Formats: sequence, C-alpha cells, structure tokens
Amino acid sequence: MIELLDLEKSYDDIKAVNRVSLSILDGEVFGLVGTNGAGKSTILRIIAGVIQPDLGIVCVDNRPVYDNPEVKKDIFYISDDQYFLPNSTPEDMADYYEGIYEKFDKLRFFKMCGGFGLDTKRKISTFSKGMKKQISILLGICAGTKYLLCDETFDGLDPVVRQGVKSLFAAEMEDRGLTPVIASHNLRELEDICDHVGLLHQGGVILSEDISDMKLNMQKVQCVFASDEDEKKALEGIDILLHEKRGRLHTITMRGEREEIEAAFKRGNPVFFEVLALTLEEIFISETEVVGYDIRKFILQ
Amino acid sequence: MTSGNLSFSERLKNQKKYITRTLWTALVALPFVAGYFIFGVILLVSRSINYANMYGQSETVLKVEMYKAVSMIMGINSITFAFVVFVAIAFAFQGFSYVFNQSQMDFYLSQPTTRFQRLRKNYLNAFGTFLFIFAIVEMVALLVAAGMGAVNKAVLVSVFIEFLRSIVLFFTVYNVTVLAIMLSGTMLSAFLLTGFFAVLSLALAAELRGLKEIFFKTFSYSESFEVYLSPLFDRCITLFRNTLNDSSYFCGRNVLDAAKDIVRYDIDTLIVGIIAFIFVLVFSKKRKAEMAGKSFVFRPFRWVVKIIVSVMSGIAAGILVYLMNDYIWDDKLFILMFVIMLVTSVITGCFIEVILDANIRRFTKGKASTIISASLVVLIFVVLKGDLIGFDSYVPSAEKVESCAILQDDYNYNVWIGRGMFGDGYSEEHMYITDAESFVKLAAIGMKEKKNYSEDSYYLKGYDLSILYRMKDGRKIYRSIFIPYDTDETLMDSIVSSEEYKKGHYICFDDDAIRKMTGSNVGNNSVSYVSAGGRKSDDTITYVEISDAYRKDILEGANYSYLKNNQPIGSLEFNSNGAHYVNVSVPVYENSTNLLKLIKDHNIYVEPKLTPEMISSIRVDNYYPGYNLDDFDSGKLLRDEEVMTTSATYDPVKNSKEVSEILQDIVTSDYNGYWYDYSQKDAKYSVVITKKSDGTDYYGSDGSYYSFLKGKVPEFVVKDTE
Repeated sequence: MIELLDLEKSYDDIKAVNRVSLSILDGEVFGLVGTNGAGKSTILRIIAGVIQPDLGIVCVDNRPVYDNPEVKKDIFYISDDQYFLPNSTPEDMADYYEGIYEKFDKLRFFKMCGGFGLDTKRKISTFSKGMKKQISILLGICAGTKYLLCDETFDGLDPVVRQGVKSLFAAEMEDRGLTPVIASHNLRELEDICDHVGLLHQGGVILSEDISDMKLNMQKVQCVFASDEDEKKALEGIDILLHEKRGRLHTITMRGEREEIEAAFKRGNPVFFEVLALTLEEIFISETEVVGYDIRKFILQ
Repeated sequence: MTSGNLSFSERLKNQKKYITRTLWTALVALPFVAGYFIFGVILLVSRSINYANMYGQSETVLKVEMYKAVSMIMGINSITFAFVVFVAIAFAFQGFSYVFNQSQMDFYLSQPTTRFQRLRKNYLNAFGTFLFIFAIVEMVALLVAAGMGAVNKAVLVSVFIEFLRSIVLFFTVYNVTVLAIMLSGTMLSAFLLTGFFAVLSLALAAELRGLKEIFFKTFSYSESFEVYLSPLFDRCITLFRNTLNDSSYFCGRNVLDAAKDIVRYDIDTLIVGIIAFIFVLVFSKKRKAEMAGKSFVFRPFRWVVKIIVSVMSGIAAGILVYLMNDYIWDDKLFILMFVIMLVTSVITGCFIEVILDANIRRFTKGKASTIISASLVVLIFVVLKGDLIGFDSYVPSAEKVESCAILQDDYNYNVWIGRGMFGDGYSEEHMYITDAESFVKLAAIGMKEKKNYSEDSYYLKGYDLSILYRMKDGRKIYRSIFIPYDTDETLMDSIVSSEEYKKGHYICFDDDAIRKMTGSNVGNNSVSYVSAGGRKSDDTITYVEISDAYRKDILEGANYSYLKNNQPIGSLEFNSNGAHYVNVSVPVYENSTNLLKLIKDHNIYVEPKLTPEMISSIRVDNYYPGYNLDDFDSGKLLRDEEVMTTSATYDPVKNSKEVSEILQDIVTSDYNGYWYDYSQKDAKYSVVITKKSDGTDYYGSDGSYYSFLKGKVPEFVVKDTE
C-alpha cells in the first residue's frame, strides 16, 4: 500500500502539493485527476522517490521511499515525457532495464511489442508519441514491479491500444497484484480504467473515492410525475444532488442505493420512471459541487 | 527469463552497451588521443632521424633527440594535459548532464539506486574509460617508439610520471566540472561556472598583485607571483618551468629532477580535486531533482558568483586603466580609475543577470546584489588608497624575523649552465642576514623614504632596493625600499659589510659549478684586464685563481663606507665558451690587493689613468644648459623639449691645457659599483673620451664615458657649454 500523509511540496514560492493525504491500496487502479499544475506529477515523483517532500510522509509498504533502492525496486515510474537513452531501440531499453530491475522479463517484452506491432529494433526517436507511450507502458509492465506510476501516459492513446493496455493491467493485477497509479488531467481518460480516483486541485485533494462505491451510492433518474403532489411524495427524504426539469421531464441525481430510490419513487406513482447509468464525470460533478467546486471549469473541457 | 538470471558475460555486455551509449564522448576522444600519441611519436621520431641524416648528427646525439621526441609527446614536458582536460570535461558533462533535464532526472532517479550509488557509477565509468583509453593508447605509442629505437629508461620514467600526473589532472578537472554541474541547472551556466572555477584563483592572484603594484609604493616585484589552487596555472607554469628539452642530456636523473621540481604544482592540483570532490559529495546530496532548468540551483551561490564576478570585473577594469596610463600616472587618474571600476562592476552585475536567466529584461534586476558588488568595489578602493591595511608602513618586529636579505643579484656574472641562468635569484637563495634589529631599523627608514621618493631621480639620492624578511612562522615578506645616501653609515655597514651579506650577494662564494666547468674547458677560456688605459690579456689565468682572489678582496675590503666613496679602477674579465657560456666581469678596486696581485703577476695590469697622448678627442655634453640641477624638485626633471643638450669638444693637441685639466677631474662611468654614491657626480655633464686605437682596446676606438665630481667642473667647460 502507498500512503501519503500531509504531504507538502513547494517550488520556490509556489505550493505544488498542499497537505495531501491519500491511501493507494494494493491491487487497485488508482487515478489521480487534476488540471495542469494541480500537483499530480509532483505526487507521482514523490512516490517514485525522485523528489523529496518538504513536509509529510510517504510510505510504500510501510517503508520510506526517498533514496531507498529496496523500495524503488517495487516501483516503475513513467513520466509524462519519458526519457529513452540516446539512439536507443526498444531492445536497447530492454537491455538497459534488464540490468536495473531484477524481475525484468525481456522475452515477454519482445512478445508484447510484437503484439502491439512495435519493432524492437527500430530507433525509438523515430516512433510516434503514442508508440513511445506504448513502449514505456510495456517496459513498465515487464519490469515486474509491484507499482506502476503513469503520468499522463494514457492521454492520446487510441481506443484499441487503450483496450489492450487495460487488458494487460487486468491480467497483471490478477497474476501478480500490480497496482497501477495513473495521473491524468482528463477524467474521461480514466473512467474505464480506474477503481479509485483522487481529485486534485491547486495542490490539494478535493476528493478521493472508490468509483464502484460512488456509483452504488448515487443514482440518476429520469421521470415524469402526474402532479406536483406526486413529485413531492416521491422526493420526500431523498438527498438530491442535482435536479433538472424540462417541461414535465425531471432528471434527478441523488444519493442512495438503487432499491431505496426505486421504493421512494413508487410512493409518487410516476407516469414514467427510468434509472440511468451515471458517468464518472457526472458523479464527480455532483460530488464536487456539493463541496463548492465546479469541476467542469477545470477538468472537463 | 528475468534479469535476475543474467550471466556475468551478459551483464558485462549490457554494461559495455551502457557505457558506449552514455559515454559516447569516449568514442569521439579516442581517435584524437590515439592520433596525438601514436602519430605524434612516429612524426617526431622520424623528424629526429631525418634531421640527423641531413646534418650528420652522431648516433649518440640522434638517440638523445629521439628520446626527447618521445618525451615531448608523452612525457612530463608534453602537452598531454590538453587532451586530459578535454576528456575530463566531456566525460563530466556526459555523465551528469542529466541533472539539467527533468525527464532524465525522472528516468534515472526513479530507478532502484541511491544518489550516491549513481554518482559512484558515473565516476567509475568515467575513470575506467579514461584509464582504459589513455593506458592502451600510450602503451601502443610506446611500443611504436620502442620499435623505432626511441625508448630508454628515462623515457619510460618520464611517460610513467606524466601518466600519473594525467590521472591527478583528470581527477581534478572531472571533479571541478561535476561540481559546476551540481551547482547549475542548465548546460550554459554549468559551462560558465566551469570556466569561472578554472580561472578564479589565477585571476584573483593576478588582480591582487596588480592592486598591490598600483596602490602600494613599497610593493616589490621580487615577490614571486604565486597562485594557489589553480590547476590551470599549475599546468602552465610546469610546462614553462620544464626545460627538459633545453637540456643537452636526457637521462633518468634529469627527468626525476624535473618531476621533483614540479611536484608541488601537482599536489596543488590534487588538493583542488579533493576539495571539489568533497563539495560534489555535499552538493549532490543537497541538490534537489526539481532544480533542473534553473541557472544556479542554490540561490546564495548565485549571489556569490555574481558578486565575485562583478567585483573582479571592476578591479580588472581599474587595473586596465592603470596599464593604459602607466607612464603618465598621477593621483588625479585614481578618480578616473575609481569611476570606471564602479561602473564596470555595476554593468557586469546587470549582464550576469541577463546571461544567467537568458532574459534581457533581467538587466535591471538583482539590485541588491549589484549594490553589494558596487559597495565592495568602493570598500576595496578606499582600503587600498588609504592603505588601511598598513602595507606601506609594515615593518615586522625583529623578534619575529628569522633572517633577511637584500635582493640584489650579482650582475657581474653571466653564466649559462644547462638549465637557466646561473645565479638568478642568488641573493634570495644565499643571503641570510641574522642581524634583524639593524635590518629592520634600516628597512623602516627605507619604507618611509620609499613613500616619498620619485622614480625619475632616485639614483641621485639613494639606493632603490628590494628586501626580504624570512619570518619565523615561515612567511616570506617582500618590500621595496629606498635608502638615501645620507643614511647612517654605521647602520649601513652593519648590513652591507657583514659576511652574511657578502656571501649572500657575491656569486663567487658559491661557484663550484663554474670552477668545475671552466677547469675542464681551459682551451676555450680567455682572460683580460680592462682599465681606462686599455686592455691586456693572459688566457692562462684560471677562473679558480680569479675567484679565490676575488673572495679574499670582498671579505677584506668590500665594506659599505669604502664602496660608497670609491669606484672600480678596472675590470678583470673571464670568458669561457665551451658547452656552456661563462662571462664574468670582476670589478677591481684600488683596495683589491689580491686581484691586483694576480693581475700584476700575469703582467696584464693597465694604469687606470688616461694621458693626453692616448686620447683622440674629448667631448663634454651639458644636458641642462642654463639650469642648476640642485634646484630641481624630485620627480620634476625638465621635459626633453624644454632643454637642448650643448657640447664642447677638446683636441689634445690644440687644447692640451684643457684636456689635461679635464683628465684630472673626471671619474669613470664605465665601471660602477653597487653602493657608490652617485650624488657625488655632477649629473649635468657627461664626458665622452675617444681614444686612439692602439690595438689593445677591446672595443677599438669607441668612446668611454666619464663624469665630473660635483664642484670639480672646470670653469672653461661651464663657459663653453652654457
């Protein structure tokens, strides 16, 4: 487990990370979401042991990470601008990492490159941005580390590759308990990958929730009531987060489990009633609006 | 298969790949290094062989020339250091330039290694590669040289010593460069900082000396220009000092002597390397990954660099003003100097801001540090101008002085023995005056006078001397002093007439090398005695005889009170032109009984007086007609265009009476003693006597120079020349 407790980090006069506390459980895909400058990369660098926090504690499996090779053996960090050795090919990088990570599996790397259609003998400098990201991810997976930190790695990957990577992550998580931590400025990029999302803004954590819990405890309903009285009966005692009305059609986002909500609406005897699937985006908009943020302004452009 | 199962050879292969990729500069350096050593040896040895064939050199001479050729490429007198410096800087930047780039920092620092392990790995890679390249290439070059018959024990010793020196130099340059990198956030600032470190101590020493020269009248040029903690200076000075190539011999002893002579400079270089390495360890720990991209990663250091460079630029500008106005320097120019120092310092500060941030808008930023720099320049100027450190008034207490010396070399000896002029710096090396109390008393007078004297007319008023105090704590303090002729003679005698002074000043007291050399070169020696009356020679007189007589005469009669009032009556000249060059001109005084005996025993004595019969003509020049020199203030001699020299010529036949009178009253200006009181002579007049050539005069019928003593200028001369 990765634990961050009251982390603070400033660059000169700018506070990049402000009292951040997070717990990243083993075996889950953790998403760090935030605008540019929200502190995502800084947090990943701190977890990777690249930089040292000014204040606070970061522990990976209860061990401090900074300048600690034993802990770093369990971490592979892919930065947003991943560096490759000059004039290197994927094969060269595999050779290099083979000497760095004891569990690095070169044969598997070659196999995976083949699967993704990447030539292991071609110079990486001639690869497209997306291909470089694929190479980074494959190197990271084949390093055999417990934690894989990806900074903006998924942004820009095409859907087929995304799906492929998702499958790889799923397989790795199942086989050896890989814990990917993925940072992105775009919530939509993480929606179908992450189990848990931490939302960052101006160096602080606005929200950190398990996505399935959030989905279970939040419902979106479209309905039509015969009268205002029916509407009143149905919505009595319900924790409404968002309520839109177009003509007689109500779209309501509310807290509560599905059965509970259905039972409540039956009281109002609606003319039309349907429970809709909530996107991660909608969940976040609803949750953050409650605490006074409009994340549409800074995440969902 | 995972990397945990890699075999040793696979690991080695990976490491080789890594080094090749991360130290690609090695591949660039290799051909140059190989070209220099291997082709350099082939070319120079071939040149020696061709030269020997062309000019018919003997086999022995050719061998020596070939050894020297190899040593010139690879030995302690080579320029190998240029390659070492280049490789060290290239390797340092190659190994550590990742700190300038955030993505590379992320890449390397996220790997399971500590910062120290990474540092160690880079160091080992760089050193390993350097040693590999140089050792292999030098080995090949030596084999080639051996194949050409150009290697002997001395060459091997020379090459081995230079190889060790190269390691020291590599260690130092590499560390200094890595330190600059650790303190910088960009490649540009790291390069600038490396240059700054390279020249800092040398520039500081040069500026310090320049300031002393400008501001302190008692500054002595005898004070050697010492620079500490400067590998650049160390290498340049050792190359300059190393005269192996000028030596006729090339043997192991010479090589070892040369190495011993320069070892202190290599130790200085090593100390710089160790200091830099310690700082590298400290700053590599303190340096944060996020500092990539900043000009200097530690803000206080940026201040320090800016202030030092600004202040030093200001001082350099001030020194430049002085150099440009050296000959017309006066106190008013100090104001100009001060203004230029201040302006340069401020402008430099502004430019440093622009350069460090690569932003022209920063020109007016960093005001606080600019003000500090300007204030320091003001402070330095005020301290120096007002001599607030008391440099010009410093006289040590006698108890703290171990010994003293008057740094006055014996210019009667011109001797070249293999490695430099024999006798250069003789008095510093040999004179140990222990009567510190008298010496300090004399020095105190000299310091005070020096502050007031004018360089233009010093010889009319006293002795301009450089002195040295050797302090008990090991320091050496040099000063320039001015002793007026009217200084207490007893005090002067206590120093100048002492055996410690005499043995420390006159080279004849430590001339074993000359005795040995001239003794084995008898056929090439020539000896003559020259006096006003002419020149006589007897080449059978040996140098040993001359030296023995000269020693006795110095100890018996060369006392201050005598030398002050008497000039030599002639000069005994000894020349030896064999493998070495010896030209000794021993001044003979009337009280030089031993020398005169030797001269007379060999029948080469010539009377010191001229007779009218010997003379072709006499010309008297009056340099300042219409002026009385005694009315002049010191330092205010007339400008050339204000006076016109007038002359009067006297013929021994037509003006026999005048000629006889002139010959009565003149003293020679050809043989001058060190301690003669020139104020006795009338500087307004010069007498040029042209003798009839009788074949005995070495210089044919050239004129000899004489002066009138004060008050002894004949009235007809005054009348004829005014």
